[in-house]
Amino acid sequence: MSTPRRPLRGVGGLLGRAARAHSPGLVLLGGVMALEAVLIAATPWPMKLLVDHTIAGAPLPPWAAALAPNQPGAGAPAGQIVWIVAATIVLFVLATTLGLVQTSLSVTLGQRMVYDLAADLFAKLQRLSLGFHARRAVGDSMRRVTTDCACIAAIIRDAALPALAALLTLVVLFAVMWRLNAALTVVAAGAVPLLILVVRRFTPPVLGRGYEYAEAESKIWDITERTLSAAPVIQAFQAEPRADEQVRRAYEGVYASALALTRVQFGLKVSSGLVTAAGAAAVLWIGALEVIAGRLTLGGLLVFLAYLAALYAPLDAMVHSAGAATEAAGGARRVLALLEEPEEVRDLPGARDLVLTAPPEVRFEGLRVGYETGRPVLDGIDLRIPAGSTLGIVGASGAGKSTLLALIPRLLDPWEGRVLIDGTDARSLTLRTLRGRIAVVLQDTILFPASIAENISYGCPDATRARIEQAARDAGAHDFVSALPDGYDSVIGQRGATLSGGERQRIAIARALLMDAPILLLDEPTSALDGATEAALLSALERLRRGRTTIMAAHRLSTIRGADSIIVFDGGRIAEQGTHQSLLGRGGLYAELHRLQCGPAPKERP
Amino acid sequence: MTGPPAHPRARWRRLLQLGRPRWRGYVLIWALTLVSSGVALLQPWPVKVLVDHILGSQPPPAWAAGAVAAGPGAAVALVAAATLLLFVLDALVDVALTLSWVRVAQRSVYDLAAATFARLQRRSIAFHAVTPVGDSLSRITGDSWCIYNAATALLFAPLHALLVGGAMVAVLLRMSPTLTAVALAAAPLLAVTSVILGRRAERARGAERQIESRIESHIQQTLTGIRVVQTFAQEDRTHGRFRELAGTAILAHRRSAIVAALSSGSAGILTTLGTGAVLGLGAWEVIGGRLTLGALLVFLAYLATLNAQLVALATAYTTARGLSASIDRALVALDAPEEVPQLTSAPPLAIAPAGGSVVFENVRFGYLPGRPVLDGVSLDIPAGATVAVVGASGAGKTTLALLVPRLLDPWSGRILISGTDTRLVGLASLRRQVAVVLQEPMLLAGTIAANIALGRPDAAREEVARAAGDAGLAALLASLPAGLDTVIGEGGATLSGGEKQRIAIARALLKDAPILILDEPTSALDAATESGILRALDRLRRGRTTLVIAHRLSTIRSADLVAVLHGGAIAELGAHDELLRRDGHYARLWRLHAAPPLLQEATA
Repeated sequence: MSTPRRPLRGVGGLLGRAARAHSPGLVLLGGVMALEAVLIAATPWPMKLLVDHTIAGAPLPPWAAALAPNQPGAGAPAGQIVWIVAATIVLFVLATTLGLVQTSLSVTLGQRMVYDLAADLFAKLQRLSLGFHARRAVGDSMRRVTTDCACIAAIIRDAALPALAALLTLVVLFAVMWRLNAALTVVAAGAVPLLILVVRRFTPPVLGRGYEYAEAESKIWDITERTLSAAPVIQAFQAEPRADEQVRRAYEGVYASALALTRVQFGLKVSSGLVTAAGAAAVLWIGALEVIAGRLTLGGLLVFLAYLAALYAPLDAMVHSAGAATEAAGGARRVLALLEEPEEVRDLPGARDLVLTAPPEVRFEGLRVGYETGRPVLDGIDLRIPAGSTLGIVGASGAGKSTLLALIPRLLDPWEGRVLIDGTDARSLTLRTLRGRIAVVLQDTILFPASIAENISYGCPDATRARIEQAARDAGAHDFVSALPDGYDSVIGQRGATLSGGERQRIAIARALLMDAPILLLDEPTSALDGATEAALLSALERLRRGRTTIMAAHRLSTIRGADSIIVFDGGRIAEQGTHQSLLGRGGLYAELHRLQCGPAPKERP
Repeated sequence: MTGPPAHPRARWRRLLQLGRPRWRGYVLIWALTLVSSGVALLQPWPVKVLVDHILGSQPPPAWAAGAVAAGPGAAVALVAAATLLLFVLDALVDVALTLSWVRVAQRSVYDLAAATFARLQRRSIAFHAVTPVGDSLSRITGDSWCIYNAATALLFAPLHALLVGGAMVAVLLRMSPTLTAVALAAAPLLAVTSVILGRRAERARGAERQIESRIESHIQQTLTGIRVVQTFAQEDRTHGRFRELAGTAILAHRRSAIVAALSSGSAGILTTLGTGAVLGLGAWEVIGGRLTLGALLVFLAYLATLNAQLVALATAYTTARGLSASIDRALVALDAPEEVPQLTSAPPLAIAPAGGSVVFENVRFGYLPGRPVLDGVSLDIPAGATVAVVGASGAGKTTLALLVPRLLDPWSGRILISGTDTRLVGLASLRRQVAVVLQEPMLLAGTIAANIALGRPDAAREEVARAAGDAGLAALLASLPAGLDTVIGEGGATLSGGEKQRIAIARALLKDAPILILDEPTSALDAATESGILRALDRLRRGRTTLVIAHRLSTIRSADLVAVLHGGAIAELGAHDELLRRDGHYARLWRLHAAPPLLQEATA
């Protein structure tokens, strides 16, 4: 649990890009903050006028007199009081209004930055291949988009800008003080280097302990989540007392780091408080002597004291900024890591569009691919699927059937070898045109929470209602869809429109039919269904396959039987290849599988 | 996790009970709050003495007379010293208060969180099956803060405000009753606007959270459906939708921020009007000689403190409004009834050396009321026998297995071990006699050795190593530099599904219990290495009563009996070949589902 010495190293580019993209907003916000600094400086002045001129009776300074020339009553004390009260109120109202403007501006700007970054991350995630998504949990990717992106606003808006504004305020305050009384300003300014020393001395431990505290907290999350997710094992092995102990210890850790953090915060608070207090006391002391000596008015002393109190706020803000930036740095690094993730699958320079007038031939050459380095799922696959024919793939779950299918639309690129569409390497094609010519039906049909019509037209959003209905008819989905209260406009997932497995699969088939793509991929389209539903679905699948190059993975032979050619996958390789009849005749794996699923083949029957 | 809403008074009483062990600390906080109020009261006085009695010519009050008499130079030095002293005192009290809050109230939070965790992790698997981990997590880490927030919002913020406010008003009244009346005129208005706008702000925050959760579910849908999104080339559309949602979110955030700013802004303007009035009227009084300038300065300083206290009170009010929901969430988790109750003075489970029989008697169970998963299961596993349970996915096979160590209790019916109802024996003794290997290995953060020794933390190192070897972990351990002491999980080594499963098997091997529950993994083990594990499992099964949820032919064949779970009950029971011949559920199931692993079987 080491303290990052330079927490923001490496994320400068990220910040720079965001700052440039939002520079008009940032400049505007900076301007508002500068105005606020001026207002802070102006705040104690009505009081000064009141004390020095109205009460003590000194003539008004020229600038104040010029502000209210010939105004009724400006000369008399009563009139002056009215003007001073009015000025106080105006200053406060201005400050409040400016505060409102500043909040609104900075929230909008910050959220824009955050969501722009989130949108970039989201787009990046969508471009990353299946290989990435197989390795990375959805929750982790989500956390980066939804939570970690906030770092950009935390660093730029909540740390950098306030620090700048604080600096500006300090400069303005000292400039005004200098004009009031140079000697006293030097005394007050004497506190500043001391304060800077204090901040430099105490900020690193505060940041370090803050970091440790955050780490300790996240450890609690980790342990609790893991333990609760493993509740059956914990209970069965009676490890509850140990889990309790672990959590108790983790909480002890959080408590200890909270205490440590509080202690170093004290160091900062007490010593900076002490310096400010000593400064105020010194100003009060010397200032009072100056007043007695007639070199400073009482009102001037009050302005000094007010400024000293105001000095503390910007310095505090600077310390706070440093903390905010450190906290956000972890998020920034996680965001950056994702943004810099290499895009394994992308359009290569000079990629061409895929033009198909007829179903193409698909060929695999020497394929080797997997999700984790050193663990290939497919190893040495050579295969040719003639144009317009259907290939069936049989194999155990985990044998690599889905991986092979994912290679065709380039959801994944092979480590070695090539995928050829009509003799062209799929990697030399643009993703958009390649994927636009491929339709898929998966085992767990992924339907989105939208209307049935939208789900069917997912691949071609501008399809007319007539074409959608025709596709649904061909897929055998029209009857049950029409029977729903809202028909094609029924929203999936809402009450009354929950669909059975067979119905969901028909919608997926309609989706593929509507796309009318020359390449069709079917990944276990029937394995979630019972036998009767499967039989009913097969004819729809048959219609779908007509006139397309089809690859169909299934572990039910009844689904696969009609394929022109069948391969059997085993241990990442093709173990057998042939037609249903020839494979049965060979008496190998396929024949064994068939015997188990469908009973002995006719000719083997004694 | 929806419990009946606690009776309001019971809720607060329970909360008080939770805080009681640290009552001394809360008293200390109370005392420190008192001191801090006193310091706040004194702070503007040195300046008053300076302005009125040293720089001005007012006769000093008795307590300041000595200082003033010492001459202007010394008096000024004394005033400066007093200012410094008050500052230091204020800082010290502040430090002590903050430290006490951490030591007392934050500690209470952690106590509550740990207790809630302890309760939640012991709840039945039926609960965990229907409750997302995230929900439990937010109760432990988030809602536990209710005790801290209750202390701040209900006890100390009002106390401090009342103390400071009361004392200051008393002092002000003595200095000038009229001016005090003017100063306080805006106060009720300020309180009312703060409360009204506070509610608005709460609603606006609700809208923010809603849009954020919509964005989250959009991301989740896209990422889980990434195959379809990419294949159908819909990235631009989902991205457009994201941008659209983000636009709405930005608006919601802005609205919320503006409401919050309006709230503080209107408070600021009301405060300003009060301050302006006091300044004007006060100056008039000073000119008229009815009030000293120093007194006016004290007035203005007090007014600022009073207004700050009012705003703090309004914030406390808003916090308090959200508090009861949070308290209820924490308490429902903490005080949930025992679903797997243990009889007091239940005798330990006694199993004969020959092994124990396991009998299910007309067992009914489900995760949701009215939807039984098991509906009248009766099954008899003789001592030392192996029964393989087969059935379609979702038929309730795993549920059946979880009933044996009472990770679940049936709605009705009984489970008997060696003839004794499992609910009548000590839970700890029951679970000690049952070893389980679940389909999901569920490894915990920590070393491999700690994971294997989960059921027997005191096991000797050699025993752990032997169990690891028997489970086929030798090659893996040899490849890891730290061997058994390799830390797994986040930041540690990543293991494949098969490796994790083998650790789970080693865990059961080490536990060495007379009753064994196996939920066979379907695909986590690759064909090449599984035979070794199967042999280890065979060894493990010897002489034990075993319930195995079977997918592999070899497992099913080596079982003494196969039970087919269908429609919530045991549909068929018999040996494999016998059941195939019967051509009923088993034969059909076999054809539809069991085939692919068979393929592995044939090539192994």
